[in-house]
Amino acid sequence: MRQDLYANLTGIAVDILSNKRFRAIAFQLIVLLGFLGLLAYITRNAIHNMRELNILPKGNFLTEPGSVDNLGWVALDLMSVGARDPIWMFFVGSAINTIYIAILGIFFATVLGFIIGVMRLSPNWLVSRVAAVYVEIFRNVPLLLWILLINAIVFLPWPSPKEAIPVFDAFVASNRGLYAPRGIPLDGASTVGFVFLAGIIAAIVWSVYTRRVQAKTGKQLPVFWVNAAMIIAVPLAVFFVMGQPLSWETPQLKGFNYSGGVKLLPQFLALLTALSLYTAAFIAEIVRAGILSVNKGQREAASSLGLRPNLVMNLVIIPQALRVIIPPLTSQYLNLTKNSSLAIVVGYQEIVAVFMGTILNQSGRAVEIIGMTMAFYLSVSLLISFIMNIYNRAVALKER
Amino acid sequence: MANQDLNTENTGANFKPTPARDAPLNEIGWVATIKRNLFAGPISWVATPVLAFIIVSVLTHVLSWGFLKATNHGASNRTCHLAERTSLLAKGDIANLVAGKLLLSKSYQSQDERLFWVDRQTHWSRFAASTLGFGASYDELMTADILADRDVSRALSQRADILSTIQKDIDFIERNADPEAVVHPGLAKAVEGLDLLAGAAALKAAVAAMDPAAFEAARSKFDAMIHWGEAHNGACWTVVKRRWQQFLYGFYPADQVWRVAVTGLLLLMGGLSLLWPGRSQTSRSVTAGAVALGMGFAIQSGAALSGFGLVLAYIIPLILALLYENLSTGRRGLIFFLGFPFAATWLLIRFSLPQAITLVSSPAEWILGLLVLAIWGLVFWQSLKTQSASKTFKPLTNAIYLILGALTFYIFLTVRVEPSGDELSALQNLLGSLRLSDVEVDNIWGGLLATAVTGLTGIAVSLPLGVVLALGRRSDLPIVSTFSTGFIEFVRGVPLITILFMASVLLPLFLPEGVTINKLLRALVGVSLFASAYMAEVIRGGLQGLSKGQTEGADSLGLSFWQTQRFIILPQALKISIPGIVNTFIGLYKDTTLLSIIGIFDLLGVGSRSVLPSLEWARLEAEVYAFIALFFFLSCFFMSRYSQHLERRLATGHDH
Repeated sequence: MRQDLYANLTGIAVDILSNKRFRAIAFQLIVLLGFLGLLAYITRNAIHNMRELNILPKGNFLTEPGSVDNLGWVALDLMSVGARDPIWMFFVGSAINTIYIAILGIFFATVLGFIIGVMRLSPNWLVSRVAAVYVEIFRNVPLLLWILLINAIVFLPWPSPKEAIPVFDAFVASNRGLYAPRGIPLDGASTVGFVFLAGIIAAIVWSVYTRRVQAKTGKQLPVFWVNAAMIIAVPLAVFFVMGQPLSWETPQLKGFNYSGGVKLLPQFLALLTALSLYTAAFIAEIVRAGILSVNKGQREAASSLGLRPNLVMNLVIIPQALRVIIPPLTSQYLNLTKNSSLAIVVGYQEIVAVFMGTILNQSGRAVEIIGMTMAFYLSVSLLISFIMNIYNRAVALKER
Repeated sequence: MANQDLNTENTGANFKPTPARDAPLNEIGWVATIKRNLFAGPISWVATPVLAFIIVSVLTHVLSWGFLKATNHGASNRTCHLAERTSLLAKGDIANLVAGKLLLSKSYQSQDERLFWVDRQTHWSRFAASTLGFGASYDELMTADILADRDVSRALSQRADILSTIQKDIDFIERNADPEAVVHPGLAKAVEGLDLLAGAAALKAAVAAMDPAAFEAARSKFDAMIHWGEAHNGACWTVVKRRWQQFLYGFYPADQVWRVAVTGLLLLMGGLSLLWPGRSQTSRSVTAGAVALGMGFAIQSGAALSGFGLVLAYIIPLILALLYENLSTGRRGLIFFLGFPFAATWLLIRFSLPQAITLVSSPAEWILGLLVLAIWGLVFWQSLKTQSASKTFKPLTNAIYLILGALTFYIFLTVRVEPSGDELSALQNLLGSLRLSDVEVDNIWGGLLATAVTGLTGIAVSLPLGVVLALGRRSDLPIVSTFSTGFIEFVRGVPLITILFMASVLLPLFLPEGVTINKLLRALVGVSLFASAYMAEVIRGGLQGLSKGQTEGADSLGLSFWQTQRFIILPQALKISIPGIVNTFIGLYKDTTLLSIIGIFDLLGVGSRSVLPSLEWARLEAEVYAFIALFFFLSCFFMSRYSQHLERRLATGHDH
């Protein structure tokens, strides 16, 4: 009797233990409990340690005055952050700088990457070799070293503003920055701007219209020249008719530095150059792989239809290659954005250098600041993924 | 029928094929090759010469800077600075300058016109020199600069000042006792019998007198010196040569550096022969190369080791290498992956033991000793088995095994007592001198050592963790897959530097009170977690590349989940994700440079935070960074080539 009971109990236990559903739930419960336990343990330790160090979060530190030094430079002069401004302004200013360099870097890296990637496939031996060597050299050396090397070779030797020599009295390359003239709109400049905007809208409308006409009747209307005229020629004509309502503000040496004009910091230029050149190498490989992924027959068929080589590329190869290119390209864009955090070694005022560097050192609010910085990067990553996914849907294979 | 035959016969008899003409000359041979590959169309006609010109000019600059004009002489950047400053004296036509000054002073041109031309010249030469790096020499630069200041005599007296500075430099170096700091032989020859100070005075006098002829005469005496300066005005590799040890080992105690070398030797020996398994010839030559390389390092760095210790340190690896090479690949892998981490930790840090040499074995040493002994026993047993199988008895091999076993036993496992007095036996003294002292990690480890440790640990941790995360992300269990996905996406969404900051700032906060971990370990945690998220995505890609039939087939065979993964899924998934895995490794390896930002002296950290800030290596950024970049290029290039080789080797031929 007793033995039977034992046997039954064991049997039930074995049944339960070998039940797939039970095992799944039990395993997940263990994982969850383990995770929560770890979290609780870490939190307990953190609170204890923070209390010891007297850095427990209290009050809103974001409205406290920030650094002893001002932010110096915010992209496009969108805002100016002074030494005694609250911390949140430093956060916003440096975040703007990060986004600014990411956008410019993505632009230049894409252009250069497509050029190198196409060069890599050139039938010309020298051209394809040069592209291959470029890719190998840039991919196999850490970005941090590229930033430092480019800074050391190109930008560090620039002279001080006093010794720098203006070119055409308009451009100055000094160790305080690269200066260029800035256009100051006068009366009537807004008209030119409106004409320009209208030109762009008209060009878009015209493109859509011509595409419809072609789809309906097969007739090709001129697109490029009409659009060029609407975007460039008409506003230019209006510009001259209005009597050139633009004056140039050139940089002038005042004391130890230049003032006026557009100023590009050397550290910004070093970072932008390094980021663009480095990411371009990766993009080039992606572009190459994308173009190679298009079946050879596509090119041959297009050629046999009588399309010219550039039309073969534009109408047949590239649209199909883009399907392969876009997903890895997106992750390169994300990488570039995240890599802009390496600016800390040259001192470009982006979010890691300013917020996670200076401000963290000053306020000591490590948990909040690192959390905010990570949240910022996560949102930017999500944003880029979102935009690229929309684009990807546009170019993806439409299965009907 | 007959007619046809006849016809055929006739044609056969009369038909004489026209001999084929040779292909046109420009369609065959090297002319055609060049035409086809370099000048195929109008764009090529432009692109090829332009690119060729760019390549040639870049190569010329790099070669002349990095090799032809480079110097590695001396103990600091002094020689290089001497060369740079001497070359400043070079090209500028000082006589013309003086003549020009005379002309100008006679109001040959109107004041405005004169200033205009001076300014233009200055602008252009300055711009060309500072931005493009060619066109104007430094000298022209300075000339132009000073012309702009309208003070020629200042320019000339500055030249004289340069000379007297150089004289002072040379005097200083000659007085200096450091044998490495001797005057460069070329410079010594150039200034032999030349009184620099008197020469400088003559120059100054000529300038003051505005006498071009006298100036030229005074200057011509320095021609040899100027020539020397121009010939050595390239890269200053002195910094790499003199700080070589620091680049390799950081601040590891100089008398203990051999331990790093031995660890590196073990790594090369074990690792390289695993990279090329199955080919005894290759792997043996690789091992021989590794041993030779390691010995080179050891001899270079192991000055502190002497006598018996030296012999042991060189002979034991050699013998181990030979024994190791005779094992099968699987066994080698097992020994390497189990043994190397322990051996490396013991060699590099040594488990925390009293500083002074004590002869009492610690528990850690016991564990290590047992492990070594177990490996020894395994290898020995295998050797005996092969011997009995082939019915050959190798007395020498067996003797070596026995001696090794006894040594291991004595070094690690014998329970020894604290010596009562100063009387230690000779053997005890010897063994005492063999025992290792503790080495701190923080601020001591550095250079290639720190880079390699980070890279290898990252690789060793991220691969298994990545597999687990990838399986977790694809799991049917919602909680597991949510956690894995959340972790992967979070890590991939933020830059490594923020994770490193978190590891170095927040990790200590998360630990219980009293527990501290060193900076390098914190960074290791950050780097490993970071790399494993990327690794997980790569492996997930590989997993998705397999058809569902594989899992279903395994299920129908009755394999358990882990058996399915271990024997069916992972071998295939890992194989197809090799390119991605190696790319992640390369990325991780390159990312180790970020350690320099959070205060660790890795290879880049040694360069940027220890070498460059010191006065004796000031202004050598280009050299230091170029050296580190070259190192990374070579190692990453090797890794990517190896992955291509691996893909080819593992290709089974029925994938496509």
